[in-house]
Amino acid sequence: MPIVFWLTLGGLLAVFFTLAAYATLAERKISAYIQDRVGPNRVGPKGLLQPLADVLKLVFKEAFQPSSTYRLLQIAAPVLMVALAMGAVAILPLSPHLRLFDGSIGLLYLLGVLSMGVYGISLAGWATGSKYSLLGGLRSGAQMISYELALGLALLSVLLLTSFLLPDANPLAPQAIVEAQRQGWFVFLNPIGFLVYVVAAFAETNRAPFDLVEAEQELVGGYHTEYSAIRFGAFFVAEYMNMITASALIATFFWGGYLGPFESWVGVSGWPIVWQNVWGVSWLLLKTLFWAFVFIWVRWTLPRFRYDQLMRIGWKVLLPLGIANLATLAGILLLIS
Amino acid sequence: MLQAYVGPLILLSLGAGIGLLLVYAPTLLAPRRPLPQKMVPYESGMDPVGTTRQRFSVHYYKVAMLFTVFDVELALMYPWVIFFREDPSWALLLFISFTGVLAVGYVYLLRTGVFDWSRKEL
Repeated sequence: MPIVFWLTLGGLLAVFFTLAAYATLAERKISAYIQDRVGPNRVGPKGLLQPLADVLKLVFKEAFQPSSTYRLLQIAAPVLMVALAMGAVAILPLSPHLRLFDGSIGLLYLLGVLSMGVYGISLAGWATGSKYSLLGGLRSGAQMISYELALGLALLSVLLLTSFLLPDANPLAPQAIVEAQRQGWFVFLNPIGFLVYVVAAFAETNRAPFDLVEAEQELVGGYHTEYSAIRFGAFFVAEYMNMITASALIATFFWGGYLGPFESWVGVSGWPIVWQNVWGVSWLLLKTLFWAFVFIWVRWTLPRFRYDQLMRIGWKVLLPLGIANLATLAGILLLIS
Repeated sequence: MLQAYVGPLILLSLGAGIGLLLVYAPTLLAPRRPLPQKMVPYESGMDPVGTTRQRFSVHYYKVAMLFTVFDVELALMYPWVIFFREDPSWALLLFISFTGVLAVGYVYLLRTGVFDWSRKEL
């Protein structure tokens, strides 16, 4: 592999880990300010070393497994979650010249990785033999597969636009999706698809208002009730990695990815490649941070749905809306061509 | 060709490695003091009633089955998207007739109440 590939990989990993670690701190800080508190501020300047302290504390705590546990399965679940959380980030195109995954099946790979996430959570729920865990795992399984349909439909509308705007490109490559947005970000061309995608992304990452999986008031900790120490920490890390990935994916599919506003007016394509890369990566990072903030903001602002409401939204609203949006989009594109 | 998959493969295996490291860290670093009380699954401080792994609501199975049906339908639409740019009007006609058939089934499901989860409808 060329040296650029390894540099990209290293840079992506460094940024991704930092973001995931500090997303935990950001969540606590932002929730604190929303609730008119200060949040963690003891470890390091302004509490900046808090994630490190959390990890150190968790590593040295006892990790016990209840006697009713299938030990191997219980251990496999967090490993699977972390692996999948990291695998999904591979398809992000970072700039016009930087990407890790050049394959033609980018989106299919992404969908595969995202749907595998159900296994991690249902396995964790099933393996420990606690009733709260089992209920959390079941709910999560039903919720994730329901919203996966809406997610798939929203992605189809993105593919449709891409293949129409760039007739020569392979629309399944994430790079093509971003390049197609040079003619207009998809959030403007496809606003309904964007809404469906965002709602489904919140549900897929099990974040509020769709965090029924771990609704504290009814299920204690949900699927990770019986996990302790850093094994619980692994789920925690995976959750925040998923949140960062989901933010980056929203940015890539609908907010122009690495494209800045007024790209052609600024004349970026005439710059040296290094500066083009810096420009692209900065915009992607900025958009990802913004969406990560929205994820946290929503969690501390909106109340949680009831389970029947959740299923109703998934099957009776998002699914028909996604199909109708696809049909409308196809009709409009037909009229234009 | 296969070179394209090196990136995702590295990330996936690195993730699995980190996961294993996290999961086995307590075995090496943490104390182990098993007590009979600690080994009982948590049930809000009570002794657990019955076993956990028994029958649960059939509703979950129904949702899983419906998901399979609709996911296959989604999988059929990916080639359709590629086909759309070759012959848009024919493709749109195909889409409408396909979702028309699907809609009949969907309305049937709506009427049977599979999507309703509130207590009184179950």
